[in-house]
Amino acid sequence: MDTKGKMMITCKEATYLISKREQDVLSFAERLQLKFHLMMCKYCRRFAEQVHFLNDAILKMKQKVEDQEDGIQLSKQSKDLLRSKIAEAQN
Amino acid sequence: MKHYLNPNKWVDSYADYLYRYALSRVNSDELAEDLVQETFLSGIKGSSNFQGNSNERTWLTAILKRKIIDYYRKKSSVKEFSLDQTDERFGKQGMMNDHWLDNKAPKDWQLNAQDQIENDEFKAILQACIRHLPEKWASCFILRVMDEMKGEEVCKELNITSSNMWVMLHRARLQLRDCVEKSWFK
Repeated sequence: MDTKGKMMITCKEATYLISKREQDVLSFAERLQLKFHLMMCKYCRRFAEQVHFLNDAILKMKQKVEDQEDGIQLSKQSKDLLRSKIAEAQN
Repeated sequence: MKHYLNPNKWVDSYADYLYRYALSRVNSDELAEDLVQETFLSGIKGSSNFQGNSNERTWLTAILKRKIIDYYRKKSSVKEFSLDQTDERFGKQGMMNDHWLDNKAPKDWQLNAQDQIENDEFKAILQACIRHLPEKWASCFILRVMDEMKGEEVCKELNITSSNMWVMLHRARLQLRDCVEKSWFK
């Protein structure tokens, strides 16, 4: 996307910069454009807040899901199958 | 400490963990099971590569991670995505061109962030929404956000340009946000 030289960006462009900001550093010009847009746009302010919140939630959840002892488990049947495959592969 | 491999204990010790790891990154139970199986078999085949510096679980997880990347790489018949494609969330003409349409715009979630993040039902919804991302954008999102791979690595693995990656990530985020809003913040 090219927003160079524009003072006013659209919501479509602003949301893109908001997404990008979660994982990368924006250029100085992009930061200014976004800041200016966010001052005027309630929806994009919400979008920014929510996207950031979701990212945060994903990172926290990720670790928990994997470590959860009582979480989802493989069925006994699947485990038996795995055991036999492993035994077979070792021979 | 030197670690040793003991494949006969793998199923009891790591199968559930690896299954959950896979399940949060691909969208089918069956595929997650297959990936776990392939991981164990590759582990046995490659056991001579095990240096004993990391523990078994870390080693097996690295193998699984690789399998997931390979899966997405094979899947991605990558098209070039551009921000110019029409997006029903935004207006199409006049003053409102490319600005949020009122009925598609983000609603007020009244975020009380900490509470929600800790809420099990919310977590389940978030997970379901991630798993249901359309595959064409999921690959990028999973590798970059879930696996915290570097941007350049993601581009290399999926053979895409970085601008394409940003657009795919952005599409995934728009979709994910919509999904969470529909399912949770009714």
